[in-house]
Amino acid sequence: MKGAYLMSRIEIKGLTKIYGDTVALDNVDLSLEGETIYGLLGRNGAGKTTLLNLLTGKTHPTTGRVTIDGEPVWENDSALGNVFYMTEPNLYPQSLRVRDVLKWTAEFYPDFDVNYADELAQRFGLNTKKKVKELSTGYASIFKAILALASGAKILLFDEPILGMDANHRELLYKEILAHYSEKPKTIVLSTHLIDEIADLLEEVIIIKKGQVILKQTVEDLLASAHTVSGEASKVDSYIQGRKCIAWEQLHNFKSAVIFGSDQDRTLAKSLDLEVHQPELQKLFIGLTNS
Amino acid sequence: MHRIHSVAKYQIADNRNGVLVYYAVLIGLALIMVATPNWNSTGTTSLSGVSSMIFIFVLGLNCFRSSFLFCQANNISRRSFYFATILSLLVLAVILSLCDLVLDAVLGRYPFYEGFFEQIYPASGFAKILWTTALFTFSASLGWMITMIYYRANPWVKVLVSISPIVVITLAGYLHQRTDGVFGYALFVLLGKALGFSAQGPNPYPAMATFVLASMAIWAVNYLLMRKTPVRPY
Repeated sequence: MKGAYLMSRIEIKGLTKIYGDTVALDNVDLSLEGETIYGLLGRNGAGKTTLLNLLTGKTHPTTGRVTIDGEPVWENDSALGNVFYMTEPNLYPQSLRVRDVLKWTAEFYPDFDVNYADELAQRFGLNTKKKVKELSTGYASIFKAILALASGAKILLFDEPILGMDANHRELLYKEILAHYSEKPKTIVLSTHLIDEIADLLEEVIIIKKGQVILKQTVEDLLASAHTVSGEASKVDSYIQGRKCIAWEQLHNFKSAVIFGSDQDRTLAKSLDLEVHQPELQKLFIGLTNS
Repeated sequence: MHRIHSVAKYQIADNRNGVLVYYAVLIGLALIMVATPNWNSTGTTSLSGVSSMIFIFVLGLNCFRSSFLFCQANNISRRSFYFATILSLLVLAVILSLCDLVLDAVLGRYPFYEGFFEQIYPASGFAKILWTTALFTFSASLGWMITMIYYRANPWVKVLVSISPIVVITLAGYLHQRTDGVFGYALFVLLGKALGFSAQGPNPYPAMATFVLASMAIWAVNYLLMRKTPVRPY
């Protein structure tokens, strides 16, 4: 059972956003429970950032509504104050020093933990005396991620949080998000293209395709519902006949395919002398968004 | 309310250095004037008033984009940002009018100096603070409105707004000519009344009312511009 530390439920009803001739988001219904780490996945232009912008009132929906714990978010400070949204573009005053941004963020978020922010800055090697405009792309991401983690908000939304970060910093950030979540469970939404790297962090995935939510499922269930078979191409071909194959790769006579199927299917595949294993989340994502 | 207060606090702090530099320059100029023998022996000089009005207009021009984006980064509603901006501009107008009052009071001891307000109106003291505060509020609000129009507008509207003063002046000149000076005279009388100039002598109170009403009209326009303002990053 989820604890009662920072429960926050986001409810999205009939959300549509149209820019000119482009339907960025098409009648989306979604509900995000508290104390869960979600992965918001989708190809470029699928509508991920639009959805996050609508969740935080950055942009006005064409139709539909978003509520947090029953309160509409549009122009509502009490609902918006529960959320920290780490945007991909840098919205911070360019001439302000990092330490001043930390100070002012503490003014806007009463639960902001300045000591924790300082500690994270040290751990990531972020020089807080630098001006925002002097930060490299990677350090600008680190700076925004630190603000998010220290904000004390009940809901943290990360849009491309690891942009420009090197592998060491990415690893450190994933560990920090997990440690932070373990200590203070909350609703976290991670939107990124590096699916394999965050796969272990996620509890649920939301996949958006062409402005529509095509899947919302726990990672455990999603991975359990599919399997990868590999072996001789003719055997794989005969096995996938009549089954829901979402992706396949072939090299000479060796073929592997990702299939949605039951435990019985796995057993059958094994009996056909095919190798059966759990697919990677990224493979499933590619299959689902390509089909 | 907490967030309005916090944003206003940030905006005032953001302008603090600018205000300090501005008054440091004015004090420097005042020292030069005082130290120069026979400074302007034929007339009077004023350091405050017009220069402060222009300065706060520039503050108004700079009060929007960076601050708005910072507020969006902190999930502050547009409504809170709007009220905070009014609050911060009002506070800055009061600060500037008080600083001008002190500057005028100190320099007023010298024969070459007469404050801007004193050059126009016979009243002083409280009326001066109210008048300058109302004028500065109007000036700052005008700057804020212009910057918001430019932020919201597409390139065509930007061009239209940029050339609009030339169009208005040309049109006024044309109407003045076509009406044998009646239009210009009517405009002159209207402006005179709005600024409190009458046969009984100049009165600052109608001007205060004009500035307050004009500021409120600008705030109404800014509210409409603010409602669904998009976030346009740097």
